[in-house]
Amino acid sequence: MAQRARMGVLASLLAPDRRGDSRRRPLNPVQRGRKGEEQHAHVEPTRLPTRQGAFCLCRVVAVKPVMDPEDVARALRRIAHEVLEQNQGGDGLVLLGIPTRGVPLAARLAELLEEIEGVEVPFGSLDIGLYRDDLDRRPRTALGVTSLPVPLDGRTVVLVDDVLYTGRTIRAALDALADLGRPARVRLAALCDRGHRELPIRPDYVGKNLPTSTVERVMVRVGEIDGEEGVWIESPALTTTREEQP
Amino acid sequence: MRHLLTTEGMARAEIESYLDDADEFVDVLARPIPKVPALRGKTVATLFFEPSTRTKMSFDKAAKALSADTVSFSPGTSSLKKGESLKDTVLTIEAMGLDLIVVRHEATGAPWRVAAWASVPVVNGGDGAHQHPTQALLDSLTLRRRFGGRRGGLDGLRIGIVGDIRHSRVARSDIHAFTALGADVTLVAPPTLLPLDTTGWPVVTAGTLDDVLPELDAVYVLRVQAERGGASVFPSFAEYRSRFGMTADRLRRLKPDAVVMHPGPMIRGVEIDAAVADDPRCLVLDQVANGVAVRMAVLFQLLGGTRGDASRPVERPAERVLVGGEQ
Repeated sequence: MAQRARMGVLASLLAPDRRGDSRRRPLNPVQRGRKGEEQHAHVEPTRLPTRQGAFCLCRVVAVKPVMDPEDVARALRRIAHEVLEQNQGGDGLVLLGIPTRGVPLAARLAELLEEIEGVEVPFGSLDIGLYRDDLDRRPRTALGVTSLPVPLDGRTVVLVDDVLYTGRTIRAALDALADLGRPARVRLAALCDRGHRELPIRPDYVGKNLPTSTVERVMVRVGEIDGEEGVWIESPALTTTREEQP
Repeated sequence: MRHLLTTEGMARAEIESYLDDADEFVDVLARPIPKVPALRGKTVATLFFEPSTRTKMSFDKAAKALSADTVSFSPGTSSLKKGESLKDTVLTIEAMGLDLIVVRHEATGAPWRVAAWASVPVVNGGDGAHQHPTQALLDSLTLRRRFGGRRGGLDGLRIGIVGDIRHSRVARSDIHAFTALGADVTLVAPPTLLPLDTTGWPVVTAGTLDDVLPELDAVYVLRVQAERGGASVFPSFAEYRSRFGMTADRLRRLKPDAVVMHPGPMIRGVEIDAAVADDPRCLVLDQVANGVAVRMAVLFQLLGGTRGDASRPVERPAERVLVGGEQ
C-alpha cells in the first residue's frame, strides 16, 4: 500500500468523527517479510494534521510472520483430511464459517473436501454478533451475515474460525446454532490456536498452535478479504506513542 | 447519548447501517425461533401519547425478539389524567431503570424535549406532523429489498409521494431518507395539502398524479388525515379520489415493476382502492413486516455496544496503527 493510502487509513482512524463508527474498520496491511524474521515497524514519527493542529503519533511494534500462504494452504489441506477421516467421508457435513475471516476459510475447506473426496460439502456463514456476552462492553460492530446452506438438523457442523483464543466466540456460536437447528454433532476447526482459553472449549482441528502472550495480537489475513495472505504475531513490546503539540 | 429523532440531515452511511442490520433481522424473524438474546436484561419503554396500532406493536415485537422487556404507557390510564407534566412522567419512568424510551406525541418536537430530560436513548415514534424516522427506515428497507437487494441505497429510483403531505410526518421523514439514499422524490398533492413552503426540500412537486404516474417506480400513498384537518381542504372524498386516489385504473398505467406503498392505516375507497390495496404490487404488508426488523436494528444500535455511561468499564480494542514500514 502506498504511503499516501496508508496515511489516509491512519488519518481516518484518528479522526474523531469516525469514533464509534459501527462499520468494521479496514485493518492495516502488514509488512511482508520472510518467515521467522522479525520486523520492526517504522520508528520515524509521522506528522498528521488533526482538528487540534498537527501532532506526531508513532507506534513501534514487532511483527513476526508465522505462516505464509503455503503454510496456510498446507494446514487447510491437512484439516480437510482430518475432517474426512473423523467423519468417515464427506456425508452429512456442513461447514459454517464465523465472519469475517472464517467464511473464506470455510469456503476453501469445502473446495478441498470436494477435491479430495469428490463430495460437495455445503458451506455457509454463522454470525455471532447477536450472541456475544460482551455486547455491553465493546463498541458495536456491524452484524455479519448468517446464511445456512441447508437445514442443520441431524448434520455434522464444522465451525470454522481463523483464531481460537478465549473461546467466547465459539460459546456464542454454539448458542446461535442452538437457535437455528439441532445438529447431530458440532466440531471446531481453527486456523490458529493461540491458547488462553476462558471457557471449557477445545478445537477438533487446528492449523497451527501459536504460543502467545495475551498482550500480543495474532493477525490473520486471507486473500479473499485482505488481498494478502498469512499469519503474523504483532508484539507491542516496543510500543511507544509520541505526541507533539504544535 | 445517541438518539433517533429525525431523518433530516442523517448521513447516508448511517441510514444504510440501520438497513444492513435490519436485513439480518429480517432473516432472524424468519427463523423457527425468531428470538435472539442480544438485548437480554434491557427494558424498552413505549410512551404513546397518540393512538397507534402498528408502531407500538411493532416496537413491542422488536424489543421482545431481541429478548428485551417492554413496559408501555398509555395516557388514558395514567397520572397525566391527574395533571402530571410530560417532564415528570418521563423522569418517573426513567427512575424505574429503563434503558430506552420510544415516544409518540401529538406535539412537534416533544421527543427532543424528552431526549433533553432523559439520560437514556430516545426514539421518536412520531411527533405531530413533523417526523417519524423509523417509518422512513422501514420504507427505505422495503424499497431497497424490492429494487436494490441487500446493500447500497435507492439510487435512481423515482418515488412519488401522493396525498396529504402537509399533515404527514411520514412524508417529512421519507423525503429525507429517500433522497439521502439517492432517490428522486416527487410530491403529488393539491396545493392545499402541500406545506406552505417547500423551499429547501430536495423534491419537485406535481399538481396531478396522472402526469407523473408513468415515470414512477414507487407510488407512496398517504392517508388523508381527517383528524388533523386534512379533509376540510378539498370538496369531497370522491373529488379527491378522482384526482389523487390510487385507483385500479392508475395501477394499470404504472410501470410493470412499479410498486405501491402506504404507511397505514389505509382508508380504502379514498386514497387507495380496495383492488389496489389487495394487489401483489402493493407492499403494505411487507412494510409492516419490515417495520419489526428495522425497529430491531434501531434498538440494537442504540442499546447494543458501549453506552455513554462513564461508570461502566469500556473496553476499547487497541487501535493498531502501523506507521511507515516502507522497505
